[in-house]
Amino acid sequence: MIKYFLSFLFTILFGFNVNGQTVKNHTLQDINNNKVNLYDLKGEQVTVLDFWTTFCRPCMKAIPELNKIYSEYKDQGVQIIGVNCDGPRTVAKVPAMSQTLQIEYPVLVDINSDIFNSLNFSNYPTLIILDEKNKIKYMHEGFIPGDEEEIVKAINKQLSK
Amino acid sequence: MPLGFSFAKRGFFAAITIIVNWLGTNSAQAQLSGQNIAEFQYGQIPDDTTKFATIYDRLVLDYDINAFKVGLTLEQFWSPYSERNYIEPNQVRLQYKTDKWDIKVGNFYETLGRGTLMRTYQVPGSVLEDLSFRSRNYFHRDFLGASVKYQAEAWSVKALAGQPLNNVFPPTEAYELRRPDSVAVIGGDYQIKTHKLEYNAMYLNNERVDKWYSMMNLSGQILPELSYYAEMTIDNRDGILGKDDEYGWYINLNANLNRLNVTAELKDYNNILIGEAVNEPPALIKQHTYRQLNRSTHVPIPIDESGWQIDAAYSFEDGSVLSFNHARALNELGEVDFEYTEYFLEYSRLFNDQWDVKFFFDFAQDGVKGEENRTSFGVDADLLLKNRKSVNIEYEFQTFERQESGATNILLSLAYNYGSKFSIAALTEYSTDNFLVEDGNDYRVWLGTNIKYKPDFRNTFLFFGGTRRGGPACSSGVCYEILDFEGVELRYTRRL
Repeated sequence: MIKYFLSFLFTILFGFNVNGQTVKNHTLQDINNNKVNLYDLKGEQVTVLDFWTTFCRPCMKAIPELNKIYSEYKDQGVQIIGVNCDGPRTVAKVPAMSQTLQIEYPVLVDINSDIFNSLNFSNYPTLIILDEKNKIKYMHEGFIPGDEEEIVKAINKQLSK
Repeated sequence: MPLGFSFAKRGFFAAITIIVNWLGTNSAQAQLSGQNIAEFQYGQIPDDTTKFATIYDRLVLDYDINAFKVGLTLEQFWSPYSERNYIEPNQVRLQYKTDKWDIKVGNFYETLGRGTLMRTYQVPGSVLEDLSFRSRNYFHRDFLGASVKYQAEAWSVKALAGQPLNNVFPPTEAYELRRPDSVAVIGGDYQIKTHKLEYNAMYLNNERVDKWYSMMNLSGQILPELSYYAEMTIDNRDGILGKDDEYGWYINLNANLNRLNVTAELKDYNNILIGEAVNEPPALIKQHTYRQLNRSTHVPIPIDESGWQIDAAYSFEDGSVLSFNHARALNELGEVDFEYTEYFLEYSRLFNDQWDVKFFFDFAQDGVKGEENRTSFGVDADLLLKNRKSVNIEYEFQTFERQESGATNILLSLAYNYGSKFSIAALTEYSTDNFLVEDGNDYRVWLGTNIKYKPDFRNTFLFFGGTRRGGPACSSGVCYEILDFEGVELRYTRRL
């Protein structure tokens, strides 16, 4: 069994070299209960999607930093979209939490975690940067203070292309 | 090791490996994606007499071609006990998705409204081990069947049919046990400005019942500062208005008063446990991020539960936030009533641009668990250092009375982080709870080390060594039981 398992793991390790998943369009509600198409919100050059929940501590630390990045880059073709993935238990708190955190960029509510699941993510927060063709160019899981520098570098890199 | 690895399964395993290799080497032309979680454990949980090694692996593969997506989830578990082991393609899926149409066949997740009628889910990254079956499997409750949804600008319609998974039973158990309910749903929603009306009718069939349910919800904004959501599910066995004693309703109001934001929720659930694993009404109990409070979370009983929750947060001009939560739940079960009440207060602030600190205080009466005057307080502090380095300190204290004896729980954690790439943490817990302390001892101590290394976005290594305290845990709005563990654990997650 060990032999087969190691062969399996070896394949997973070295058999893949996939570049750039595409994020498909989804119709979701925003925190004001409007129906919104994800593609209608995307940035001219770069779109940043931040998958967050109200019960995730690192998410709460990331959002103020994303607010700062949004203020700095929103006029440079960069759009940040918060995709909230709270389930039925906690989704009621999303509008209030978004107000408390003074989120300036659009927040969509994905109660079924459709986008998150379709991309096979498993941690909150997960932040992805998309190019103008909605292809994932950068991905970041978790948030520790200081990570915002890495995110800014990735946005600048994408803008310079 | 008596592993029961049959010839047919070896063939299947080999075929998967070849396909994965082929797709991997041809990946430049295709949208192949996925994730693999491999977890190795060596140690023991309660009821084990010896330490032993186990391997759990979950491979998710998805292949996108324009509007189509095809996927497979392969799960396997190996231990020295053949009856616990398995290798199964536990999920297969085919999806056709455009701006208007979303058609799914196979395994998928679907939540209707806030879950009073139907809820399926996964708890990302969680592997579940049950004390009875002792097999490990991914923590999810999916739906096996087909779904068609048409989305227009202001309205949508959907129909789905299939069988939800009862995830109490691991993949080693029979299909009939794991998916005992068959359901068919037809529904839709209509949006007028910021108001939305949704209606779903569901037919349920299992060995015991043959029933119709319906669910309606209405949501919207009354004022820019005031929004609402109301949902009701009824059993239509006795006609369109249902039966008086089988219903579930839920109301939520949100108010934004400048710097003060308030959420109020009300619930009344009466005999609204649908099938074995079809629905899961909202709990209306705060899911705490603090470890001890998270462990103490009240789990709703949809046979009979009513109550409310109020959540308020005030953000000050200096960026600090004061949060308050109050929840009450009443269970009238036969001749005995159980009451749960909780008051929670938290203050978070950044001091000197260096200390990011949260203080909390919580007081609860938990009738179901028999815990009286449960008082908890603690602090969670991040010390921000230069060059993306930081130190995290968590301290939590809890005391309560149960059956005329007292219990104290203390938790202390110290962590060092280098960005999100590397972290090392030591976590120790102390308890005098007589449900946990072994005979002849006055207290019990757990001590563990967690190390995380993430060299890039594709690869994550997590190591645990020591003793880990089990008990209830709530994540992604779902509560479940974690078993005590003593030993070492290595998890390797690879994004493909």
